Amino acid sequence: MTSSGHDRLPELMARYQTGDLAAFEEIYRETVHEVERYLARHAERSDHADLVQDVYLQVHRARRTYRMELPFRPWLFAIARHVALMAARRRRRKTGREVLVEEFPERETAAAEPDVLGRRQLARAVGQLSPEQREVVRLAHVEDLTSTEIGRRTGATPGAVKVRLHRAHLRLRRWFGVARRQDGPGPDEGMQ
Amino acid sequence: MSEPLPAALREALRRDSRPVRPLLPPAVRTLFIAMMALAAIPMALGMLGLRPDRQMLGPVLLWVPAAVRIAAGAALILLAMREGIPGLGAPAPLRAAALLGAPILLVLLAQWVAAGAVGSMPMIEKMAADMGRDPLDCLPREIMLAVPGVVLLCLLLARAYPLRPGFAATAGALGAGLIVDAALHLICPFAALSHTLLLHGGALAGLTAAAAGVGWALGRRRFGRGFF
Repeated sequence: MTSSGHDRLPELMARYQTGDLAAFEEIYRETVHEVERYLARHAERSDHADLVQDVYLQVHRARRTYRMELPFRPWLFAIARHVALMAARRRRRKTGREVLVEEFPERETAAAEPDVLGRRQLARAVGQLSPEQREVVRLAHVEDLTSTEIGRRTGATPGAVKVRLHRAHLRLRRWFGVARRQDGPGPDEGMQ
Repeated sequence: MSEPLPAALREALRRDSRPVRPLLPPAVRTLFIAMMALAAIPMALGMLGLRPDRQMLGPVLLWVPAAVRIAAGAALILLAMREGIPGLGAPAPLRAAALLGAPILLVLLAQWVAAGAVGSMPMIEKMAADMGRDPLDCLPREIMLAVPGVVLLCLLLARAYPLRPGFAATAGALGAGLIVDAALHLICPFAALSHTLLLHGGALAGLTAAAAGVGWALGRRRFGRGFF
């Protein structure tokens, strides 16, 4: 990376705007190590190779916004910074989802422990549901279908499926809540 | 150090390697949008003429609020157009000041004009009613006059590469809307603060919200996120 290399970058970018792929390769060679170092400092992810490629893909997509009178590197590093930021956001979103997924089975496991409820109680709770509710619960939790898929099977709209499922969950929750407090089978009045 | 271009990247570039023309500088693109928004002034004046209370308001209260709106609007559009070029975006405090400052400016100007017109207001409003002018007309009129500028703004932003498309579209639409609001200020006989804020401000808010929606969609499509 020489200073003359930096001086050539605007000219190379102008050539790339005319469709010269060789010019882009030169830009890549001149700047890739700087971009890698930048991402290593600013991005949280360990797979920097993907991010580096993403930066150059964004450079390609944004190529018409570059003008020769502008310094090249601030333009390039604004894109690199944005890619790092997007990666961090995606990671945070993913991490958030992972936490939820980890929490979910714990709740399920606790609810399904045989000494607390037992299969018979579960069957009895589900048996209290209306036939439509029972069907959506089975399709959602046993067959693992989405609302749209359930809708297709039952002839209901996805919205109606969600409402039915929500009401079924509420009834089950109410039933189990009573069952836990009394440490026994839930009374029917809790269901009505 | 000669790092070869990764094959996947090379392939992606090859698929879309058509030549492109560099965008015009942000100032020139700002000028296009500002001119389109400014066209609302002769159009509005041609349709309805200068506001009937211009004599009572005097030249300062008539022209200065219009000029301030135009200057602020152009500055906001310039911010939006610069946002379309990586590395030229405004820092966060300036972005926040721009988005908060525009409505505050509108309130202050409306208050200033309302205070200056308070004596003549009942008479002018009666005169306007006799002329068949309905205060509610200001809302659709302002929206209609501003739509071409806002559409052009959205098209230019879509051709550029705003890294914060939500902000760019919001600031740009506010700017184009403020310029059109200058036209409304020059023709509208209703100087009451409530009228300016609810109807003129409402039109501006509606346009800005619509443009912000476009910016959000642009961000979702490009980066998988809508705003800022």
